[in-house]
Parts: sequence; C-alpha cells; structure tokens
Amino acid sequence: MATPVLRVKNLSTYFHTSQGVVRAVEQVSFSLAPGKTLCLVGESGCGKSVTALSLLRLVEPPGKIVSGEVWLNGRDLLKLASSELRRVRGKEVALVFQDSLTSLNPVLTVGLQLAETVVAHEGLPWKEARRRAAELLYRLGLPEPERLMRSYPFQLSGGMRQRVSLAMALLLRPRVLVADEPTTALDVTVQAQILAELKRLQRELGMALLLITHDLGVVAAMADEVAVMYAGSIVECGPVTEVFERPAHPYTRALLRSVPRPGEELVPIEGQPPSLLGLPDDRCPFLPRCPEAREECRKRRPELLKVAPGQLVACHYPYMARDEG
Amino acid sequence: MLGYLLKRLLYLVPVMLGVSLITFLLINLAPGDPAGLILRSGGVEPTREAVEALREELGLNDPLYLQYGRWLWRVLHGDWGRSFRTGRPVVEELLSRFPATLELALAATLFMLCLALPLGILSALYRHAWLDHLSRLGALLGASLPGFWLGLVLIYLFAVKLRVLPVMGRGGLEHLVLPAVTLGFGLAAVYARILRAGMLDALGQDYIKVARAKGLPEKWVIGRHALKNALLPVVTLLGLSFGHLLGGVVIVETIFAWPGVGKFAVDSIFNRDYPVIQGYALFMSVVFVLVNLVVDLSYVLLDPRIRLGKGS
Repeated sequence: MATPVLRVKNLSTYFHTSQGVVRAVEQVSFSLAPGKTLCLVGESGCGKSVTALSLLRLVEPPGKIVSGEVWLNGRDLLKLASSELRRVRGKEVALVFQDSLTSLNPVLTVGLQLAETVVAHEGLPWKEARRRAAELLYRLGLPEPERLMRSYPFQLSGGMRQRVSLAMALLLRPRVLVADEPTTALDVTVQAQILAELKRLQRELGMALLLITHDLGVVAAMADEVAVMYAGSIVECGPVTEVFERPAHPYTRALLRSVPRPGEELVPIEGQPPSLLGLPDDRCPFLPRCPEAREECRKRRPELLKVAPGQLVACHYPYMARDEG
Repeated sequence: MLGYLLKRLLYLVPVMLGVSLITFLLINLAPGDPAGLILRSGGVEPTREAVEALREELGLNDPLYLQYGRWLWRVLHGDWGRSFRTGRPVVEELLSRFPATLELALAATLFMLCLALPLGILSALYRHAWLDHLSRLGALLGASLPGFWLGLVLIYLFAVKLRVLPVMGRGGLEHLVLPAVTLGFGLAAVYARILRAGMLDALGQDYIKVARAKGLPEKWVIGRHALKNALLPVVTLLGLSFGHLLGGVVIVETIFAWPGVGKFAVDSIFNRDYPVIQGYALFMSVVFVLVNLVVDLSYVLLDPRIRLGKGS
C-alpha cells in the first residue's frame, strides 16, 4: 500500500456530560492512501460523525478529544497551533456535511460562501475568487454558474445545494475529503448522480476520500476499504471485497444481512445499540446483541487483530477462525 | 421588494383607522363635557345656555359616527385643533418639539447599540466567563431599575457630585449624555441578552462548523456567519422596543426638563389640555407605526428568505 496521506491513531473523543462521560469515539485507528476511498459505516450514534469532526478538531464542548494522533502530510493535526490548523482546514482537508440546508448559511449568497474560502486561503481579490468559484461550478456541470452564485441556499433544490457544498469543499483541491453522509438527505437518483460526480472528481484530483455512511449500497459502490464502527470503536476493517464477502465480526455479518434484497427476508439486528454513557470496557460492547456470545466475551474486551491480509477484527471468535478451527 | 413595500403600506390603512378611532373615542370617553371644558379653560364658570350653544356649534349633539367622520376629515387636512393652554395649533406645537424628542430617542438607541452589540457578542463567545455574568447582572438591573430612579441617580452622581455633566435642559452634546443613557440603559441590557441568545443559537448551527472547516478566520466566522443570523431577532424586537422608548421618553424628558413632545404631553395632562393629549396620542401612534414599518423593511434587507420569497 502506498504511503497513507491520512493516518489516524488511537483517536478517542469523550463528551463530559452531567450524567457522566460519553465515550463517543474510543481508540479509533485507520489510514487512508491517496486517491483511495475508505467508508466508515455503522448505525446512527456509533461515533462516525464525531470521528469526522475530531479529525479537524471541530468537536465542541462538552466534547473533547482526549487522546490520539491525526497525521496529515507528516504533521499531527491534533498538535497544531490554531493558526496553522486554520490553514490546513479547507485547504488540505475539507469537510462535507449531510444536510446542505443547515450547512450553508441561509443569509449569505452561494457565491460569497464559495469565494470566501479562496479569499481566506489564497488572499485573492474577491472578484478573482468569484471567478474561480464560477469556473468550478461550471466544471461540475451546474447550469448558469453566475446566476447560481447570486442565489441563496433556500432557493436551490436539495441536490443543487449538495453540489454547491461539494464544490465548496473541492475549491482548493484538498488532498483529503471527509464526507459525512453526503447523499443521505437526497433521493436515490440524485444520490447516484452525486456519487458518480464525487468519484470522477476524486480521480481527477487524486484525492483521498473518507466517506461516512450507514448505507451499505453506497459502500459497495464507492469504497476501496471499509471500516465498521460499533459503539464508538472500529470492530472490523479491511478491503471492501474481503469484508463484504467474508465478514468476520458478528456485527458486520448482521449488518450485511439487514440489507433488504428482493425476494429475501429482511433480518433485523436484535436489540438496541448500547448507550455510550458509562459503557463497560471489561467486556465486548456487542455482547448483549451477539448471537455467538460466549464466556470469554464477558471477561475481556476484544482487540482489533488481523484475521486475513489487510482485514482486522475485534472479536474473540471471528467467523473465519471458527469455520477453519 | 416593491410588492412587499406596497403590501405593508396597504396594511397601514386599517391600522391607522383603528388608531384614529381610539384616539377620537379617548376624548369622548373622558369624563366631562368638551364644550364645558373649553369654556371653563378661560377660568369662568359658563352658563348652561353658553355650553349648549357651543355644543351645537361644535356638532357635539350629532351622532358619534358623524362627529368621528368630521373629526377625521379635519385631522387628515392637518387641523388637529388648538391647544387650550397656548392657543396655538396642536400640529405646530408637536412638530416644533419633535426634533428634540427624536434627537433624544436616536441618541438613546445609539448608546443602546454601542453597549448591546459588543456585550452581546462577547458574552456569547465567552459564555459563563466574568463578562457574561456581568452582562447578566446588568440585564437584571436594566430590566428592573425604573427610568426615573436611574435618571435621578445619574444626575446626582455626574451633575451634582462630579459636576462633569449638566443637570438638565437641551444644548450641546453634553446635555444629551445623561438622558440618553437613562433612556437607553434598560434596553441595552435586555438587548445584550437577546443578542447573546441569538449568537449562541447561530454558533451551534452546522453552517458555523462548515465555516470553521473551510478554514475561515475566526472574525469572519463570528462577524459574517454568526452575527448576521443573530441580528434577525434583535431587529424584529427593535420595533416593539420603540414603544418602550417613546413611553420612557415621557418620563426622561420630564426629569431632565428636555423640551420634547413627551414633556409637553405631561404638562398638557396636568392642565387637562385635551386637544394636545389627543394630538399627542395620534402623533405618537403614527410615529410608532412608521418606525415599525422601517424596522420591518430593514428585516427584509437582512433576511433574503423574506426579500425573495421562500421557495421561489
């Protein structure tokens, strides 16, 4: 594997609330090679979005990054001074959020919100920055860029807004794009279009993509690698073909079975995801829902270990080992 | 924008009609017979015949709607009656004093904004820090201290003890300071809190995260992205607060002997100068309605969702 452009090591983000400590992200590690796509999947509330925000240090109190390293181009973002961090944000790592209606400022024009990024990072005059933004909108295949730039977010359709958000993130050709459920709020046809555009742009710019989603269809279409998150931790990761064909963690297996297919019965995962508040760390977090749970699972939290080339699993009894043993 | 303006102007017609009706009834519901009052204003007790003659002359024996119609017609033509006290037309009296009141109200608003804007923004940014607590205390004081008390304390401190500012009257800028502070302080304290709430709301929104994720300087994030959204509720309330300001002006002008319409109205009330009281009520209603119109229009300029029509 090529030298990773982004390497995250033992990242933990906790929320200190009045009821106790919520361990939203616990010891998360992964790396991302240039031009590749890593999909972070899992149920709502499993810590995917907090992981994304933590990468850029955008977690707000009571949330706090308690440990870890985020290496980008040989620098640990978690140790940068805020002025240096500001120069990295948007320029080297960009972020796209799920809901473009709330992520675009309602009282500023699209053009201003696009151009200000260029002005902030490259110090260009506004006119020049606006021209750059219009060019990119044109390249993205958006009709009438000039008119679009004069509009406000509420005047655009959901798909159009998300394209604008995407353009905003790509304006400075970042090396890494973090996209948090970028197509979840859109209908299926628009979703497919935007994913296709994203893929094309990724190839053009040689950009690494960290795509956060709960949609396994999106993972299948986009991912090179996949990391499955459960209760704040990664429970399984590896190349998407391996993980999808030979899922080793009971949760991954259950997740794959819960995808609706024509003519097949839908198998939901029994039980609820655990509360991250005061989660015991002396046992497997998936224990209450695991059909395969045994004595060992009650005693010790499993670590993320290699089960096949590139494939890591946090389970005392991973599926493959069971089959072969 | 033009359509919105026309619509708003059209709304003003029923509002103004209602205001005129209430003002008209004010004098008719007031105890005592206007004809008697007019004749008594000379200081001599009138005869029954004289009162009856004047009632006939003034049309007070006609049905109420006829009187209202006639009165409205005159008012619309600028004839608001004459002051019992000075004998001059009410319109002249009010208009000659209005610049002084306007000056005071604008100075108070300016002071209010100069205090509320920085205080509101800073107490949102440094939530639960000492400045925030100080502004909370200020808001409590500002909302609960009566204007006349604050005015007297300020006079005592700055005019009597320290002798740095004049006690009363209208003149240069130094005359404006104490009345403007008295009038603006309560509102400033309240607006600082409203702006703080607006800022906190805006700062919690996704677009602020996006703005930071884009690597914008923090002053752009605050000033451009958060403040513009946070100002919307403030501007809406400004129109309502103007009523408080006009009410407060009456008291403040009286304390500081400020020669504006408020003081004139109080003097007229003490002298039962009905045409002036009626004229003052009508005049202030017009001013209030117009100021609200201006506030609404500025809201439109701030919020594109109203200006351009949602979903167009």
